[in-house]
Amino acid sequence: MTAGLRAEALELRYGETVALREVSLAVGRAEVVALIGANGAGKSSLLNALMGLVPLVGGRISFDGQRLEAVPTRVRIAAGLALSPEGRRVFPDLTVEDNLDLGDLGRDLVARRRRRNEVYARFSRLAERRLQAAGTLSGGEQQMLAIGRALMAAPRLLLLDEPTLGLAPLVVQEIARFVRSVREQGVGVVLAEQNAELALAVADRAVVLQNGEVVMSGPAAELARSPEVRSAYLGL
Amino acid sequence: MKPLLRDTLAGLVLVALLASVLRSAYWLDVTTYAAVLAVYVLGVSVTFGQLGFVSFGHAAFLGLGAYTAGILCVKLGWNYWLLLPLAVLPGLLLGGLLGVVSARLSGAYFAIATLVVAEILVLLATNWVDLTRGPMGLMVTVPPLPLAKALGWNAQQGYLAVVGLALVLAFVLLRNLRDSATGRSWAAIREAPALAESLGIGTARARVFNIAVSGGVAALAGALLVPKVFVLSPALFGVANSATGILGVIVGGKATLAGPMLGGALFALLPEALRFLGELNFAAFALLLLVVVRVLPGGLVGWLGQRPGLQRWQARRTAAAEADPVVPQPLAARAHRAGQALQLLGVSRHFKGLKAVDDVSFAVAGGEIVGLIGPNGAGKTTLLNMLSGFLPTTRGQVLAFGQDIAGLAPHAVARRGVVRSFQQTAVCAPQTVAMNMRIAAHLHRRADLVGSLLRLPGWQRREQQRLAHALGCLHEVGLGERLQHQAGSLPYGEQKLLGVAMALAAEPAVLLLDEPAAGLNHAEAARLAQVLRGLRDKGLTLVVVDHNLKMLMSLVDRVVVLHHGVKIADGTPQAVTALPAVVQAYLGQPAEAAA
Repeated sequence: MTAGLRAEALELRYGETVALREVSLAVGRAEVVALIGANGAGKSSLLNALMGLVPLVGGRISFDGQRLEAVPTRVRIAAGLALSPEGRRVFPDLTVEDNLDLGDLGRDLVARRRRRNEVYARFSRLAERRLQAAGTLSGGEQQMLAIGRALMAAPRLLLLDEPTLGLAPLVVQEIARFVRSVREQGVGVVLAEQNAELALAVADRAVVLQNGEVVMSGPAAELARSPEVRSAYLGL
Repeated sequence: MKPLLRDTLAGLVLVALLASVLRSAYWLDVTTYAAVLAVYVLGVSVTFGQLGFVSFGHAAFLGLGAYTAGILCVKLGWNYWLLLPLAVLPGLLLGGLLGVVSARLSGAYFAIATLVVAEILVLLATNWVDLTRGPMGLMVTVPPLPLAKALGWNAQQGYLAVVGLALVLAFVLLRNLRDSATGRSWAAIREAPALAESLGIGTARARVFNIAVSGGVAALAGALLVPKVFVLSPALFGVANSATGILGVIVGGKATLAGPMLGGALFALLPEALRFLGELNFAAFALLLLVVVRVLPGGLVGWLGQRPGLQRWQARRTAAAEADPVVPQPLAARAHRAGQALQLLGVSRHFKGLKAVDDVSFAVAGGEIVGLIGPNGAGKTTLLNMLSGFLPTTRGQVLAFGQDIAGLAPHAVARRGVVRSFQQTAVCAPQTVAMNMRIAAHLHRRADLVGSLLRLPGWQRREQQRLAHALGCLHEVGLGERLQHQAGSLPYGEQKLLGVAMALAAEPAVLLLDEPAAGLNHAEAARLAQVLRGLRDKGLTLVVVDHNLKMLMSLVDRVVVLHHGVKIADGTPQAVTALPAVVQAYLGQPAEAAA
């Protein structure tokens, strides 16, 4: 039995278009792995495939030794995966609290309250607005809510799809601190980010995707020094 | 014009053949009834399928058409066959009225409003005995079609021919309407109403017109029903007929016009086909409907469309249409309009005591690129909403080229040259990129109802120009390759770019962009900045909200900083980023950012 996530030779197609080709990814316990790539490179597709939101054509996924590629999303969540989707998909007409509760698939109300309080402790802005409709929150607050909702499932591996999208620089720094603190608690993170600078700064390892294929991978610090990455994704 | 004549003629030949070949009274009766229901369900699908509003009361129009025809025949002695086309009018009127009255309703509330209208008509028809003979029913004897005898047809054959003619005309005209600017505006309202407004589409008017058309067609179906039912009773307005309309659309396939026709016809044919089951007939029919709805979410036509043979045929048709491709018309450079493009004078917006935007004043000169930055929740989007007409101001004035635009509806603001893009992706997700762009080019050429219905040459020329303009705008943001992709399947960043291209297609003088670079990486953001600079050189004035400071600061002439709804800075990028207040509220410590 191996700890953490192992995904091997993932294949994904949308009709005729190949979205992922032979993509493999390993994330150890409490490891942060950044996914870097242009628009349409397959970052979101990979995260959605790991969660079982899109059907794979081929490949294997296992998490802490449990095979996951053939089971539905809720089983993967129970196994310890959780996704904060791209573009802050919150339920706009529900309150902040209801949005959070939807992230918890368990039936233990005491545990639910405890986790909710943990989320509030982490994102104090959400606590202030707990009875407000999620649609009235600012963009940054909605992003926190989407992440908080993923945390409600008490994941051991957190998949973050573009968590800094549309956030002010100050809040971006907050997200970076958040990723580091989550890791300290023993939770792994897969971070798909357009902000490659930030992603490489907080990640242990990074994977570069291009047209649905892994073209580079390695320690984040090493990739941050690679000339290809610097010119293509860091704009340096 | 040519395809219009071709399709109408083909339809007429088919109808004439059918009327001549069918001899059995039973089959004539069933076929005619199927055709009447096809017209009716087509009418329902205009509102339900194309506008996306469920109506529980379309029997109101059906009954109204039937009673109008019946009363004119019986009380005034008019010739039934001659008054048939007039039966459209009461439906148009009632539909328009319903559209105006229900302008603020959507979803279930709209459905209930339609139900109420139908119930009112039931009461009216039941109690206005002098006019309708109430529950006893109005007996209408229809003379045989005069022309029928000349062609050697009996009365039933003549009736079938007329109903068939009506069906062909309704189908061809509704198809032309669907493929025109009007029909595209309905699709936009269905998929993304706010987007439609922002592109200059007057959604309120488009909606009223849609319901009027739908009512008109349904009323025509009602009038066509008269010879079949012979006695008109208030039950015509009843829920059973309304349900037939909705179910026919769902079973046939909402997204098409062929679907509703097929669905309507099935409602006449299937109960006949299931007759051998005796008393279980209707139960079996209901079960069949359930199965279709459950197994075929796209309806029968949606299912047929996925068959390989039909898909190949579709592909050949698309290929044929593209054999004569439209050359994209590059965006023409225009001179900057002189003077201030935008002036904000003491603009405020309060939400129940919360001052989202408080007393903000600044001006944007023609040809300027102004960045609007601030922490999340500072009021940037609220401000853009006020500039584009989506939110009224609590206080203050917004002038565009000297004209006050505060209080105008978004589409009116767009028509005055101020167009915005959205922070969350806003595209018509199920449609192709090409269709999105055609929708967006709504304002490029005037909509022409008669021209589009008859496919006149002038309309076709304008449609080509519209498409060329739309494609030019798409190329401007570098999405030319994505033309045939489904908009909702594009990666997030490209959906945002598509949003920019769509705003561009509405021919703005001032473009308000809400986080256009969100979801783009550095290289893509740099390309976007280049595109935006190019737009300025072509005569546009831009206000850009974004958090990608590297991109923004390289682009803008001036930056306005909002914090807690208040303007805390206004100046060149260098000057503003050096201000301690801005660093503290927004930027954070540079050392921290690098960590």
